[in-house]
Amino acid sequence: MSHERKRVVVAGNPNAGKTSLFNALTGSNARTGNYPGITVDRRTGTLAIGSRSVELIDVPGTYALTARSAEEQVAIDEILPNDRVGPDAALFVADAGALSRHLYLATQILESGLPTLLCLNMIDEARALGTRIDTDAMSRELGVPVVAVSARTGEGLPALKDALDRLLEAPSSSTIELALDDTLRERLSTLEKVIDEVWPAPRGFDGKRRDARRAALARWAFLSIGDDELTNVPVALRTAVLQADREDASSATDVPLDERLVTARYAIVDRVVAASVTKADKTTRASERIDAVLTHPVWGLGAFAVVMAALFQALFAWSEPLVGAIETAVAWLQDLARSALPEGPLAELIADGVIAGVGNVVVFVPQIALLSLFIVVLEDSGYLARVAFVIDRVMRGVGLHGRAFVPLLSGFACAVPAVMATRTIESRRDRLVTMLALPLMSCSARLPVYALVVAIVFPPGTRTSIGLEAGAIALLAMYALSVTATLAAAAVMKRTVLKGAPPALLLELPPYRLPQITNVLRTVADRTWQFLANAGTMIAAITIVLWALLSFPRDEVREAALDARAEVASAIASEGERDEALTAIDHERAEARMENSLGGRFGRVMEPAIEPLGFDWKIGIGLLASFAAREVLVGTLGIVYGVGGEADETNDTLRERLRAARRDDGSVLFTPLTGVSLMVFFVLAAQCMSTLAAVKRESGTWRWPLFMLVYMNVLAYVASLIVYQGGRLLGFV
Amino acid sequence: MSTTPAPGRTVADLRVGETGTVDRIVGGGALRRRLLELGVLRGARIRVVRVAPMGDPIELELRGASLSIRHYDAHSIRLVKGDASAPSVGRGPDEAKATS
Repeated sequence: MSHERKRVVVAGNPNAGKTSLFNALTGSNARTGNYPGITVDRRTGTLAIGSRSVELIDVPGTYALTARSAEEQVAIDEILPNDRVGPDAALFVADAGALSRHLYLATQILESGLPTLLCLNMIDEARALGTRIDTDAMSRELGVPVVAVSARTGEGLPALKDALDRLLEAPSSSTIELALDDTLRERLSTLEKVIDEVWPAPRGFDGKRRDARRAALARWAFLSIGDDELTNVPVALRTAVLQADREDASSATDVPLDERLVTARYAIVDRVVAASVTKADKTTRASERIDAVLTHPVWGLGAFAVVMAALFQALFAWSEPLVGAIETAVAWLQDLARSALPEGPLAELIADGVIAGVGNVVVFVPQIALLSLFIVVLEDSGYLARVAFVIDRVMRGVGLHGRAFVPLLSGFACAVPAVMATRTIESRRDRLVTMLALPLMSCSARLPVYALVVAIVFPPGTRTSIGLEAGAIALLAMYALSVTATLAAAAVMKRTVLKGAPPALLLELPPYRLPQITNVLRTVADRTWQFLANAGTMIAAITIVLWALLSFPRDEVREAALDARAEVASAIASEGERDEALTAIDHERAEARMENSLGGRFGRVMEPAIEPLGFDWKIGIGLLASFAAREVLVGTLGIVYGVGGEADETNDTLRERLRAARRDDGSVLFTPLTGVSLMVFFVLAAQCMSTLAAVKRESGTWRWPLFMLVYMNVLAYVASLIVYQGGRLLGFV
Repeated sequence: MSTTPAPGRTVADLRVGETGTVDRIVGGGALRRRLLELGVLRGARIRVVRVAPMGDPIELELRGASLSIRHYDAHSIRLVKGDASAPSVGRGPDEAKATS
């Protein structure tokens, strides 16, 4: 029987409703993975038609079967692979209301000889606009089965499954023929000969199917190669195409050959549309009226500001209760582990290593889920494209695309979800620039650090010469520095390490549509899960390593002395006094352990390196510990100043001790200048391992997170050095 | 990469609501091929639908679909001489053709 599992690619333009159709067909039987090395989601699912089980592959949306980058090639490798057999059939999804554009890609898939079912999606929407489509006529013109469906309402889905079943039972290819002139035919046949050499047809391809595959690959090469960033193109093929291009440029023909090939395809599209589509004369899409407001010079910018403010508010404030709840739960679990397990290194490993590590991962979930939710809703509703449209002018200034705005803005809340949000940027280069620059945006984890430092060095009431609160000015300056640094870093990277032709903006403003709740939830769950499974494991592992670094080795003599004192203290009769004494010993123990640990020793060793920035070795330990998360600096200073790790930035004892801290020469450690230098360092330094893990996850290599680590820390060091040394030269202390 | 300023009118010169007929895309490279494959071919009709609030990019309509590009890139789409229809109420001539 022919009932072995067949593979069907779901292909189509962006905004064709491919994903909702895929979801409607596969239900819960879908998995989201990743194409190796690049972050384009690869979703596969199972569709059962009677006794037949079909594997559906959701191919990234594309306008054409040509590519200039590895990202774009992903879709093509699924549909028309050059080194293997490929899928059994294609389910081509087109927006029934935009066939004049969407059928272009369909012609390319049909040319390749792949058995195809043409699915006209959103037929309800097209019908409401007065468009009538004769699917039989279209089927006759193209030589493939055509069904009209609405993934949203479920209309036509049974017919679609039947048609797919029949196509898989008796596969047949389309009969369309492009009208090509002799010169073009000749050029393409030269390329076809090269294709036979470099990418010979796999076993099982013969006769017409083999010819169609070869012709399709030759046309792919003809339109893709030249000014591309494709890897894995055989030299012989590249040479042949560039040779053909040169010959074309030198000939006197009026219309270039590549344009003639595209024109021949659009001629088929026009013929098919003319034969099967009837449009009403007078309909204005609701989208037109909405856009009159949302892209209006005044109202448009106003609406934009409101939406972005809501997004910002959600990331900053709405996630807060959830993050708080997770932190409380983690602390509760740690206490539970400490009390349930016998005191000792194992209990500490479980509580401070493993549970803290998992907690460090889970704590990101609310913000990642919220940001994904916002982005999916904005994307599915069509507004995300308008965001890019409205703000592109500003982003262009630093060489970025309008789509880089949302990730950059999200960076104010947290870089981890923001790095994941860069996926909406198509160009790999722009995506990298955005994710490498956005950790300079001052995230919410830096706030406790600023708050503590400002409270120490600019206590309330400290006024500048113009009568403003010095602390407020310092805080504002840090945010200004962070935005300036982000934009400057992006602009510099665009001109240096990630230099290349500025990718043009080609943006489709799709009609506004109501997002479907199941699609939204599914995507949010997918994104969150991907974070937990990939970046999450890395974050948990590094947390455990950091914990070990800052806890071992121990000074056994001192531990024994502390144990002895604790024993004495537990005998104190008054409960209040006893607790006080025990807490004091605990704090001392934490301080001793951290100072004696590898991390603590490292802090001392690197003191000469950070002294020019105004930092001492205790701050050095804090810098190392804050690699787990920036706000950990506060708790670490709590420990090394004997106040305990639970101290937060509002803790008065911690503030007092830090104000009283002295350098070895007896001078005050936390002068305003040291404070500013420390804050500048925190604005610019790449201290957050979670961000590095997210960048590794999104860029697919360690190269870029390492690059980020180096460039941001060098920047931070130099900037703090200039602040501190420059400040001293100017007479500040 | 630089685009030499084209003599004659380009899509960048169209006012909101105006429609022009494509002559050819000047300059080469990836952008030209992308535009070709989106239907910016000789004889295609392009209408400027709107301009973004800050003056750039511009939204075009061709083949009944939306496409936004930057002003800078719009300069590379040259129009047929003396052809730019004034703003029309309702549907442009390009859609009327699709009705047949």
